[in-house]
Amino acid sequence: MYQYDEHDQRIVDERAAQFRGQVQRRLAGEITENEFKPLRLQNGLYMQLHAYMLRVAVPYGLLSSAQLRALATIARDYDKGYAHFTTRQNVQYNWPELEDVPKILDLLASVQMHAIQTSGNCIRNTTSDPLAGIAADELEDPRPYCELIRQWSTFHPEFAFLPRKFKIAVTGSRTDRAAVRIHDIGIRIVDNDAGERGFEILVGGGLGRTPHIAKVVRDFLPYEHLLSYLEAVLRVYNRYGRRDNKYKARIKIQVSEWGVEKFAAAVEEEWGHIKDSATALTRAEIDRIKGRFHTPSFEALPNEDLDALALTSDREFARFLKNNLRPHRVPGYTAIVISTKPKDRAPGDVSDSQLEALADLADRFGLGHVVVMHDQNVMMPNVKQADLKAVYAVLEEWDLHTANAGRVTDQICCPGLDFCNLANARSIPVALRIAERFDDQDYLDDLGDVSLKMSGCINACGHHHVGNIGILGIDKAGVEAYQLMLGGDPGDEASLGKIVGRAFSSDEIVDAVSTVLDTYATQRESADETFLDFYRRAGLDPFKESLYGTD
Amino acid sequence: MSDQTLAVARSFGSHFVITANTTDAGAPVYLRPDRTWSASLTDAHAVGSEDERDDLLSHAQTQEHDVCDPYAFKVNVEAGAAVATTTRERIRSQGPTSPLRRPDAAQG
Repeated sequence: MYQYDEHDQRIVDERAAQFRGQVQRRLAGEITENEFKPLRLQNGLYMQLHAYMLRVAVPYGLLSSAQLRALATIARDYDKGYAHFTTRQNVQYNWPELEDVPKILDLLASVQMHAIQTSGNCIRNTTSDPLAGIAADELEDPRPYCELIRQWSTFHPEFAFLPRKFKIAVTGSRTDRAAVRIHDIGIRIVDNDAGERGFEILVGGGLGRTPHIAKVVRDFLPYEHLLSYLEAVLRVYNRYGRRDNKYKARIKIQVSEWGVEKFAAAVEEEWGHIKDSATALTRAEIDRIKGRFHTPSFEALPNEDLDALALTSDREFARFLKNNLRPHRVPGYTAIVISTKPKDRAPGDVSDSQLEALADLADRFGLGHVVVMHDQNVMMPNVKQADLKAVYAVLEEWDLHTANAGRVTDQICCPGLDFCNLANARSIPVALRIAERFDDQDYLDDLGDVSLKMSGCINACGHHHVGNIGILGIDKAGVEAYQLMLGGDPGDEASLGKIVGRAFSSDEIVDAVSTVLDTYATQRESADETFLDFYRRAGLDPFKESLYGTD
Repeated sequence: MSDQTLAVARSFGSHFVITANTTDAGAPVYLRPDRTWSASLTDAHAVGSEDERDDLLSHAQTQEHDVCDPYAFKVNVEAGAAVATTTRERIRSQGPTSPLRRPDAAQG
């Protein structure tokens, strides 16, 4: 965990105090809603359908047990007893009252958290690989670089009013688990042919109304130039990005309209002016940041025989071992995916008690922290394999043991029209019906990994464009309908899903998903052919035929 | 086109009502005939003409100490009460359609 220094702490303390005054003036009628709105948005406070919504930043998804307990307290004392994990590895509260928000920000500041830059046209929370720091294929832990970006971008005066919001992701592994290709800037830690450490920089990815896969603008950037190069990209975007139409204002549109060569040339020219400025990183500065992470010390342990452990009469525990473990680079340890998606809960929702249970688990078995994953689950990254039974027993006690990680019921789902002011259709009730329909775990395991991602509107908070199965809620003359798309993936071979055909009604959409799954299950070449492989081989036609017939 | 007309949400129906969110809790409220605010859509003053709508909306826009971002939307009137005609306004007036928080298993 990164530990704040006095400057970090002072920033969040002063920001909380500043917002307290702004809230007092709003409640006293001294400032109007139009004056207050940009102030509250800069502190992550939105107005949704039924109430305010507060979005709390979780830098690169990392949460300590103390922070989990604070989030639980907020859920219990200032909300309706639950919190919601988002696809930006953040936390949202759906029911805070305005006068309580300064108290919430004080509580967050006391555990080194805040809601700064979780809204507005600024640089948002930088995300990363949930396996950062423990992945065997990792060149270097990306989180210190995420933290450098966080510090550089926090209150950056030049980038507080960009044409649109701006999202950055960093991965240090060869396998992309951070979805860098669907971010405004994606950063991959790489080595060049001379063995020097640096970054590959991708720009112009994003979902929303006009999805784009990011393009490489620089295949190798020496590590010391990370911030100056990011500054150059942001400057080119800030100066030339479109402000006349919010739907064309993201950097992906600029890169697409200009072409990547022109964009890269403009960045290189700008970078030439600032590359040796004060933003140049030294190894000492990187080491200083790394030093504040207090890397956990691992015991020398043997690897357990997990296959033998799975030979148990408890089929759900065996399934959990099969589906919810992720490899750890240190022998004797494993990472655990804790699914927030049992069949009767909104994906991403966790209760105050569950948050406290997670905090206790992290302290007892997880070296004191967890990671919020961009698929709305929680990862315990540092569990001794020998503790798996004990951890599972606690997870089972708190209904956090669902063994569906990576399966089709491990859905990404935005809040949708049940909460969101922008949504056109509900997504949570559809997710619940999908979870109810596909509750045969043997069937899900037979299907293997299939990602299902659902958004209640074109803004794509549920990442539907990059779901193997994507569902987009739309409004057809005041009635909810759902477009089905197939073939999306955010990984190394990133692809955008294609719409299969006419939209389905709310009553039809779960049957349509069932038809898609059955089509794959009956027509795949073998059990080893994944859903995505099948789609990439066979295309949309077999699905169209199953869904709509031949006419 | 006036700003007030622009503030009318996309909806359909025979009448208009005025809504906003409260400043303290952000909860949806509806303008009553006596020009106070109610949490219930059935209490809303449903008016049939654009002139009445614009008059009510103008009044609502002077109440920004108590409410935020008032707007008008169309409703039908059934048994003397306003009834939302879109899913959005129906959910907004009645609350989320999905359960908010299950009892925790470990709490019995």
